[in-house]
Amino acid sequence: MPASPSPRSLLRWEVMRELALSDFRLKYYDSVLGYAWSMLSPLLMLAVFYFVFRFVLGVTTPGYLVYLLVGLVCWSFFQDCSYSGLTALAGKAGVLKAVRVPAGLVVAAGVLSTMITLAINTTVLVLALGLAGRLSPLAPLALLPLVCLALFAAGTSFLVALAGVQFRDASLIWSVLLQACFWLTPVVYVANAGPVAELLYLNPLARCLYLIRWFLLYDYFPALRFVVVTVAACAGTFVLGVGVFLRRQAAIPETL
Amino acid sequence: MSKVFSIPHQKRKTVFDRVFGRGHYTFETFHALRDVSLRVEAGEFVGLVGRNGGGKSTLLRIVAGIYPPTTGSVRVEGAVAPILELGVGFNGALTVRDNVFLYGVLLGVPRRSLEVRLMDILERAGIGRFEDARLETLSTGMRARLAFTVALLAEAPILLVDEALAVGDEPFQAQCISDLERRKEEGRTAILVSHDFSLLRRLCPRMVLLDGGAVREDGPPERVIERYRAL
Repeated sequence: MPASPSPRSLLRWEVMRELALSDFRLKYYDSVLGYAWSMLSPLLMLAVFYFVFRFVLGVTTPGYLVYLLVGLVCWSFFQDCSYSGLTALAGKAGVLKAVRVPAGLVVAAGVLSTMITLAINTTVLVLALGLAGRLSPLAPLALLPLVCLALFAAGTSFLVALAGVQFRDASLIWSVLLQACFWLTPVVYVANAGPVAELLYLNPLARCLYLIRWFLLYDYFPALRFVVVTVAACAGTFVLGVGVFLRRQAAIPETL
Repeated sequence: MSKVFSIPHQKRKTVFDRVFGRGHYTFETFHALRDVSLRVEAGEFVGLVGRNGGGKSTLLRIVAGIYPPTTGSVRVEGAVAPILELGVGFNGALTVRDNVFLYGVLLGVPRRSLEVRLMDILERAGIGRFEDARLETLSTGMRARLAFTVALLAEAPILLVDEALAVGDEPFQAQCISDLERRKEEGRTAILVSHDFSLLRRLCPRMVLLDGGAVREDGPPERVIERYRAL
């Protein structure tokens, strides 16, 4: 009868995995298209932005469609991931008040479930690019900026989660900031050089997107310093977000 | 040990207030627990009684490590299984199987042993072979039985139970009580919160009365119950 005692760390991993999987299952539960939705929404955005930028604004960059596709897959991950931080704690208030589960684990599970979507979407994307013969030889290197993107999004998610617990209007503010962030990142437009690009380099998310596209599509390796600064900025955001959250997580269950 | 909650008059402050407001928040402090000092020995079954709002649930949450105490400290020697609410994390849209795994893991039961014992769990809960049905298709009573069956798998040496027994039909309740009695014989420790005095008398040779956040009585059931009725 007695369940074999297991180390605490293993159980925590199991808790996080079950929470993430149930999040993931619930997201696509009862929808006719199921998982396809997670690909359909970037594809729909792709159609709209392609129409606007190509035909209304007259963008003539060669390969703009693929450029846009990569951008939208990455952006929709960042959006989902940071948004999951905003909703995860409130949605699991009952759990946090009844079982001893660190609040950080609940946020991490939400982040993890959006990462599952990112992993599947990028796999499909890379396969499609490969079949279309658009994959650059440097493509395997794109894993590094993808990990950076995940770290940056996760760190942001933890910060947003903390703000969401403390401030009632955090979700309103975040939706505005997210809009700003969308336009301050080269997701749908092209800014490859000049002072505008230099300015965008201040945004770690933009740096990730530049690197992902350079490696995945353009067979271009930038100065090593660019890569190092990007890794440092994203890892730093992650450490900051998780660190600040962990310092305050003990008081979270009673404030929910 | 004490626990003070700050209860803001506004539900939650906003960033807007902080930046543009006068910067003062009005809030009241609520002493959920005042200088509570208790010692429960290993192997003891203690019944915690008191009126609503007396601090019973807060005390259990602090012992379980869910809330930090405001002052003082709690020392717990051993793993704790808090059964403060039945079916925590249950989601009607997920299958019975997924719910069992999620809930069990939250209570500290390794997933491996849940997988092995899934059929046994369903049988004991009287659900049969509906492991792939959505939880929402089960009746409220069946859901509660499923939750309690999973909760009883938590084999931690220390049990904290908050009115969780008030569910299910009579045979099921009898099963729960015999399960708790077995644990008592095994030398486990428990703190049980309940308003069911006959249940507490059966299981707990010691009872504690909590009212207004303070311990009013601590001792044999009859004395504690008498004091409770005199409140």
